[in-house]
This record gives sequence, structure tokens and C-alpha cells, in this order.
Amino acid sequence: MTSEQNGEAADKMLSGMIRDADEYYAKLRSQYRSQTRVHVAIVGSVIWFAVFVALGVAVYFNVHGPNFDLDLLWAFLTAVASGVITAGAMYVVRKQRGFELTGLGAQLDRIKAGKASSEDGLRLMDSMHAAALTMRKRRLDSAFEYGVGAFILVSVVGLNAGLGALAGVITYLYFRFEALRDYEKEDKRYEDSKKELLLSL
Amino acid sequence: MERPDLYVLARFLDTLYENGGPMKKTNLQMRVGLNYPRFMEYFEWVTAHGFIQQQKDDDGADLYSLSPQGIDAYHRLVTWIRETMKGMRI
Repeated sequence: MTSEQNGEAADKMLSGMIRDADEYYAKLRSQYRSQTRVHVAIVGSVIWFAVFVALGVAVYFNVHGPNFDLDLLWAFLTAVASGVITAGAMYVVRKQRGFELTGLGAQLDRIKAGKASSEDGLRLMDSMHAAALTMRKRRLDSAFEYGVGAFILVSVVGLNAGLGALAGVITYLYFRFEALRDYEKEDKRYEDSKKELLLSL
Repeated sequence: MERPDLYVLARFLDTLYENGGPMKKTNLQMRVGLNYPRFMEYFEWVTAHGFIQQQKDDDGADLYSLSPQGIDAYHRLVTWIRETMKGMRI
């Protein structure tokens, strides 16, 4: 390969790098949106479950007559309404807060406006890596939500709160362990790769 | 200097690569935006690694450009960035 061909290849790689970063940013945004939906659904479910249990227990211990079924239905509907309202409010708050990683998008736009250099590439890559770590860190929060989800599911299906709690704790610990391991592995891989490059130059 | 900052190193290589031809040391220092002592540390590092070749202009002033080894290092850096980016998972 001649030096001119090498130069063309380097230029192509730099523009390809921007394309990759663009796709990556789009994926981040889409993942953020789906995480928001899951978060909202889980918080809504928790509220629904808590309200239903509280009202259900109150109905069970106070009413033992022909109105029991109707009161239980009201308790259920009140719980559903509470869950929906909370989930809706949470969704609005998260939407107003906006996407946290817009800095990466702005950086990408700045680079697109001019001629990309390898330094731009490095900065972009570091931002992408930081964004990926932020998303991974958020999985630690999701672990708690999954745990609560498992608790509700097992409690409702198995009609056993103890079993539900056990399932919730196991689910939480498992997802937390996986998220932490993934986070540390990815960070180490990235730093090692930088060191290797410097040594190879 | 044990481990240079990758950003500064990239700036050095970018500047010399984009310039194409040889350039004066002062010009290079201005373009990479480092103070003189810091610049000299990096300059010595890239020279020791054979990334820079020296020549003289008609007036006998020193000019510097990327050596074939420097060009190769630049290509390796760009290739590494692209590959690392491709391998990034969310």
C-alpha cells in the first residue's frame, strides 16, 4: 500500500468512526428510552401492589359481609389508579429531565462540522466509554427494580409473601452481581487496551 | 516521560500528518498548544521513538516531519480507535 492509499484509508476510517459514534449514540438514546419505560412500569407496579395489599388487608379485616367482593374490587381499582398515576408522573418527570448524555451528541455534532482528527476520535471514544459506563451503572438501580418485580410476581402468583421476598432478594443480588462484574470488566478492558496501544507504538 | 498522554500524542501526530510537509519546531509547538518544557518532553519522546525525521531548509533551519515510522504509528492509532469503537458495547 502506498502512503497515499494509506492516507485515504486513514481518512475513511476517521469518517467511519463518526458514523459508528452516531449509531452508538442512537442506540444509547433508544436504550435510555426503554430503560425509562421499564423503570416507570416497575415503579407503577410497586405502587399498585403496595396500595392493593394495604387496602385488601384493611377490607379483609373490616368487612365480612355481602359487600366484601365489591370492596375488594374497589381496593383493586384504587390500587390500579394509584399505580397508573404514579407511573405517569414518573414518566413526565424523567421526560422533563431529558437524556443525560446529550454532551456526547453535542460533541459529535461539533466534530461533524469540521474535519475529524485522531484526537477528536480519542475524545469521542472516551465519551462513548463514559456513556456506556453510565448506562451500566444504571443497571445497578435496575437490579433493585427487578428484585421488587420478582417479589411482586412471586407473591401474587404463589400467594406467599415470604417466597416472594426470597425470590426478590435472589433476583436483586444476581442482577447486581452481573451489573458490577460487567462494569468492572468493561472498564479494565478499555484501560488495558489503551496501555497496549501505547506500548505498541 | 514514562507514559505520554494519548491525547497529546494524537495531537502531535495529527498536526504533522495533516501538515504533510516539514515544519519548524516553533510552528509545531504552537499547533500542539503546549508550553515549551512540556512540548520538549513530548518532542523528545516522539523523536526517541523515531516518529519524526529532521531535515534542513535552504537557510539551514531545522524542519521536522513525520517519518515513515510516524506515519505508521498514526495509521495504527486511527485503526485502533476505529476498532475499539466498533467493539464498544452499551
